[in-house]
Amino acid sequence: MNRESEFIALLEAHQRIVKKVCRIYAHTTEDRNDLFQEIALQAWRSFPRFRGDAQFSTWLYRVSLNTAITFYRKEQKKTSVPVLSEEVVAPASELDPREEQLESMYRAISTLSELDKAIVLLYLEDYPYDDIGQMMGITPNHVAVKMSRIKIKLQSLTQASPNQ
Amino acid sequence: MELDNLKQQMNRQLEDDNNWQPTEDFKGIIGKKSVNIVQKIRGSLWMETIIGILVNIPLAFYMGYRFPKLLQLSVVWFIFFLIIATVPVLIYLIAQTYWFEKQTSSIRENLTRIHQLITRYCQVNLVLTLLAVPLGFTLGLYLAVDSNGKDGLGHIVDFIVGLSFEQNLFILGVFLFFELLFFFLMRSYLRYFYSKYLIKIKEMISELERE
Repeated sequence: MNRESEFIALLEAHQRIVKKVCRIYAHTTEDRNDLFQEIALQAWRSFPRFRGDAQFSTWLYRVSLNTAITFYRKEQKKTSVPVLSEEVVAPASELDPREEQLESMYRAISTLSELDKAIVLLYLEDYPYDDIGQMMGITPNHVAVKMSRIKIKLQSLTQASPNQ
Repeated sequence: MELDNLKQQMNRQLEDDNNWQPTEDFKGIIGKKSVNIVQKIRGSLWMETIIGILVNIPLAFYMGYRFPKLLQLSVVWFIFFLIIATVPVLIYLIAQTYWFEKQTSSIRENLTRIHQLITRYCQVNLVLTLLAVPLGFTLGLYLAVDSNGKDGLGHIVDFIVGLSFEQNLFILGVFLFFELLFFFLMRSYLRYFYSKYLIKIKEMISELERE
């Protein structure tokens, strides 16, 4: 198997990571496709550096988050209110309480900063604070403090506007 | 409601959402052109380097051939080397872009590097713009040689000596006007493309540094 085939096989096996990052960071289908393409390109360019000493999934998270956070749009397109869940969940009237809670949480996450979104994404993936700290370039204690603040913020946001 | 209570469900929903599927497969994507900021800067740097080399080397040889007098040559070569000295700076920045494009470092490190790269790129461009007017002016003087072999510098010295203080001041003002015009045009160009992005990157670095 040549390097390109090996890379594509690995990326296809882990493409859920790229999709998750795109859903969190891009709010329109067009933006998601652009970001998806850019992450795949950056992963391919960085692949010669992948030595296998870390898990491919961790490596791919690093590349995907770095690309998403520094993604440069020439027109600096703005979405009025980024709603993470608009394509993920059904309209509020058709939702059961659990789904309403989820929708509310998605909306709250979409208001977080780019860096906080990265921390939430890695937290949802069950990465320990040590690993999150390494990926972010901060100490595990700092991650813990940030995560605690994020949780409080999300809780207040979801309580303040449960149906928004 | 807490994030932890919804963790599993959110994780699953983000992975399994069928409302959006990427339009292209990975095989098709990896041959495409990137829109990454580092690659964009590298493209500009290559262009500036190639233009710098293509314009300056033939110009220097042409002038050496046309004006073989020692004094003229020393000034010509001084200007030539001054311009060509910027090429290693540009090549150094290009080398940095290859190093920076590897997105495998930590987010904080990556942001810091990109911030450094864009800042240096803007500084180099502003310095080059400031140098362009006086260098272009001096080169132009040396190109303008009359039938008696008197170059532009000789003419300009005679011309300036024959002028009053106010007239000299006016010429200096015109010179400064063009210097500042080019400087502000370049600064506006750089601001238009990079300032918002630089501010965003700087804010994120500060956010990571705040305990």
